[in-house]
Amino acid sequence: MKDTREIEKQIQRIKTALAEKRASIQDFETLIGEKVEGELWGFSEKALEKAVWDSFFYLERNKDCLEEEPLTSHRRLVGRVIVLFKKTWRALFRPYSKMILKRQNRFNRELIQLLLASLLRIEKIKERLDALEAKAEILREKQD
Amino acid sequence: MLDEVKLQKAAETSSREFFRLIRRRLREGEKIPQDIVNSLILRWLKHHPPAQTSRFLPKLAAELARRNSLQSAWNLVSFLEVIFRLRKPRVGIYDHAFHYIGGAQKYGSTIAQTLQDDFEVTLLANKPVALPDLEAWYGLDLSRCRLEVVPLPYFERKSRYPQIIEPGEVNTSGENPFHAVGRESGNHDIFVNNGMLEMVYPLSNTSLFICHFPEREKSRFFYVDRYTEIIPSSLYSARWIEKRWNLRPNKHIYPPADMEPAAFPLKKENIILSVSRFDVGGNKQQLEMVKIFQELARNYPRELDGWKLVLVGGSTPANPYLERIEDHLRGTAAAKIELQVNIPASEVRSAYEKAKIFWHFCGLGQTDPAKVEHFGITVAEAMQNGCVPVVFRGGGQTETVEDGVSGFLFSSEKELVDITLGLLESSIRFEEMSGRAYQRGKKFSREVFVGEVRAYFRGLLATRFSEAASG
Repeated sequence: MKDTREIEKQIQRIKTALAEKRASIQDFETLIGEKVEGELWGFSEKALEKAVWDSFFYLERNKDCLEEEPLTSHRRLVGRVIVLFKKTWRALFRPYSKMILKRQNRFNRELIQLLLASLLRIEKIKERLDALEAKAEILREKQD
Repeated sequence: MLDEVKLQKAAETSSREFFRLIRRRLREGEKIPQDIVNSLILRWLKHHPPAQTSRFLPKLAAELARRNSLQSAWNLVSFLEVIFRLRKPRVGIYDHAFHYIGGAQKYGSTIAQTLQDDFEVTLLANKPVALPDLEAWYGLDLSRCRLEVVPLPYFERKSRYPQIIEPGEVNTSGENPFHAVGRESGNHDIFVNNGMLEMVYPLSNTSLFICHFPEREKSRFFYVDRYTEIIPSSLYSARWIEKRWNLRPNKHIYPPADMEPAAFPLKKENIILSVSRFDVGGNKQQLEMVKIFQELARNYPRELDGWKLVLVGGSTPANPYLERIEDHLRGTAAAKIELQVNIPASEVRSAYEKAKIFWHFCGLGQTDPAKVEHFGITVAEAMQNGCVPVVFRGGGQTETVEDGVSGFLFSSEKELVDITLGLLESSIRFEEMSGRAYQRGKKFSREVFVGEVRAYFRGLLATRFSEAASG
């Protein structure tokens, strides 16, 4: 290649600027600019079963939307003011948000119940199917 | 959509047109794969004066960061640093179990030693471990390597045993705890995932997935298909990668066995040896060995006269399987059987040197392919010392031992007994086999491993980090 000193300097400058930005990005998907979650298609039965129950427990744990997360600010000096502002804002609108979120909570609870019932039903059907298959196997062996 | 040929042509003819086309493609929301970004920019840099390219380069990087991703711009700059020789290429070797002694970790550490003069090598662990410990465990020199710990708070919070990072415990509906490692991988030019951990999303320009066996099924956090190449450690592993993950692996590299004696032939004694971890689940089947040896001694006292069985292996404290073997031996004292648990490496070496026959049952009667030996490093070590291997016909052992040539494979207890008696009866047969086993064992030496790793990485540098990468 030709005289590359100028490009080398440029590379260093760009790298320094990018390093700062990169360090400030916490979210993995933002960093790489795409969704990374795998598709459920192509999973084995065992892997699907794990995925189903993992998802269910995640939903179950997070069904309560009235649960409030602690208010914080990453800013050092003005952080306290910001937190105070957020708290006031939240307190002011709580009666209205509660009204909506209570309905949402009821809906979530019902949905979780429905999901659990469906999953358990599938389990029971699977158990029956396994038992039937075992019986069929015994019959087949006897026939042979 | 703009085709690659048009972009390549523009890269050679006009900086302005090239920049315009790249920007157009990115603004249309179409991502450009990293390899293509790197090769196009390299091609463009080759065909234009530095005064012109240095003017456009920051703009290109900014556009890439905005439209492709920040990591994409970062990877481009890292690639150019290597191409312009501003620094040595960086290799990050990751293993979530580097803090434990293990065969896979020895594999990764030996790669690190091999590459440390030509690359900036960093060992990436999840728990604190000292480089001198790794050096002592595996007899290596890692003085030019660095070690970095990437903490995984998920396991500290969740697990009852925070020292153990068990990927099977990860809840795939929450956040992927291994993204911390994925993020770190982006700081290296070549990322080597040595722990066969399919949940690590690689961000480096080149990424290698080393796989001893595809332990887990595909899950929501499955990213092996994102790696540049998959390197199995045996043909057995390669077959299972295809079967279980439907992915095509690259050329395999066998693990290094380094028990070669200073001289050969060795002065041998009438010993049948087994070297294997006393697995809590009894997967290595030492108890079965004891029972078969006792039966042999009962049924063939003349042939077995003067022979003993020596079982060498590591064990955790209060190991119920080891206790079962000890209880069994206390009840039956007739046959000569020795247990040597957690002995130093020098004594293991001496055991190999003295033994005539090497037994290995792992895989016998198993239906789970993960419980069959994926390679069987102790078999190769035994062969390096001229022990005649009599091992189960399955897994990686069928690759190490050529049946009837450099050892024997068996599928049943009867076959094992017949082969062993045949060896006990004929010293000529033993001498012949021992010599061939010794020769065969050389194929799995550390020297061979180092040579293969070096050639492989040189190939990677030549194809992916040189001007040839501009296409």
